[in-house]
Amino acid sequence: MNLPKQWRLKGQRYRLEGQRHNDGRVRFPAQPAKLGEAQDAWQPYQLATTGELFSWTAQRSNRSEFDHEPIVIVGIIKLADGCLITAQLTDCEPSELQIGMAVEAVTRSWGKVGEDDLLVYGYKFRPQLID
Amino acid sequence: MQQVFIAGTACTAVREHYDRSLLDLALDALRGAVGSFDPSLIEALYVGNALGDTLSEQSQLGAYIAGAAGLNCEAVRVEAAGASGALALRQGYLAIASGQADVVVVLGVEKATDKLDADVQSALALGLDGELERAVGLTLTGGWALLMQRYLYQYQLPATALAPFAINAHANGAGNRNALYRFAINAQKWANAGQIAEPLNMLDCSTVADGAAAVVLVSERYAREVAQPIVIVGSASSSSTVALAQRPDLLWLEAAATSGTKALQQAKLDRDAIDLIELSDPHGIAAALSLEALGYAERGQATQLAAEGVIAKDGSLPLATAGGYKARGDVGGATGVYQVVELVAQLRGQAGANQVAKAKTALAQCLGGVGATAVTHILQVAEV
Repeated sequence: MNLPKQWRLKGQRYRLEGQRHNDGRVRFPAQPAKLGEAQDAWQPYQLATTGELFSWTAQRSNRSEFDHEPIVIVGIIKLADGCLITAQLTDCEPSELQIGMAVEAVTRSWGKVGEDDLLVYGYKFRPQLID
Repeated sequence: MQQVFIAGTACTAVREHYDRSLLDLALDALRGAVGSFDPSLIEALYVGNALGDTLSEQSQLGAYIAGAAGLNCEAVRVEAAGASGALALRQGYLAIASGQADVVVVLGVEKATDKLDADVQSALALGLDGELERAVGLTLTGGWALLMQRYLYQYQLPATALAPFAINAHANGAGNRNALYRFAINAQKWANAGQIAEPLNMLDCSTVADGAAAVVLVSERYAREVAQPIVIVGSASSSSTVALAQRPDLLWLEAAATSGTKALQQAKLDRDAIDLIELSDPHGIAAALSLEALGYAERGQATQLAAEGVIAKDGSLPLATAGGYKARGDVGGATGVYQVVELVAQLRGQAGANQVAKAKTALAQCLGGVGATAVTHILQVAEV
């Protein structure tokens, strides 16, 4: 079981913690400074939790960890602050989805890991309920 | 820099080889490529393989295969997802070009069918970003589907605009005895195929299968002894961000563009000098984006090349003449070596029913993951 990894990632998965650059650029997740970048150029930043659907797919042939789900819908979301994020889409059917539609983040189960079935939670996105 | 020549080549048929192990396939290809060449002259073995440690539960494939082949030489496994074989070829190229070796063997091998499809999907997804993409359930096919969905939206195209790539691949696969699928398909069949990862349907998705391919690379010292040597005039690789959402332009394969440009510059060739081409084409969208990255089409225009027959066997830029990923079969990390074996057959005039007339210069580009690694090689008929 990779328990330390799940613990280490709780900021990005529970709170959408990313980084904002001094010049206003936003990125996800938080990551070390790239070569040649100042160490303090990027500061912690909580991403916007709403955005629009940038692309999506409905996967019907899935990996063993997701094989119990007949369809796994995955999208790329363009958040209100301009950052792109890849996430599962929930509370919707493929027929409802359109590029450009408004979506919002929710915290949902990502599945179980390890022999003790540790429940792992994280972000998913769903069609926005209220404008 | 020494010139690098391709001497022997061989590949196994691409099949669901349930009765054969990874080692069986590897040794078949090695024996075929080495032929009557003295194996004691081999100074290194470079093995391109993407899935061996997960699907065959075997790492250290360099020593594992070299030992079985009776070779006691430098033996290295190279891994870059689907680009593993092409990157292994580049390592072999560099070994000879640098003068470190005069004879090396490059092997691409993949054994996928020992596990069920869901396990294969899991292994293939290791080529995605583990924390940002794999963890949320994305598959490798799903990654390409995300690009296709956006492409269709951005350029206002129907999904059927991508169909001619698979139709072309199957038309060519029908003439390749080593192909997994030796039958043609048509536009109606394509349109009626069930969805795999919307908008990618079953006839727009390659099938992962088993196979091995090998090439012997030699310096000029040995090239004179080879019948119909082929020279590698360009070799370049590049990389871009693995996570799709972190790329500055989702629909631009930066690594493909960079490695292609570098290889053409090294060869001192214009792209129009290429007589035929092999690409990573597990889906039509992959072929389309690669053609745009290489400059053969403007952004959003690559489907026209397929629709107008430019990529057909008798077109001006034949693509996937042995069937490509779709019909020859998707051999994972072995693909880059298969591509070169197929192009060498074309340049030697040995491609049978699929022979392209007057083929003198060919380009092979192979991608890892959803294009995060790209390796390009340019081959020409040698005059030694």
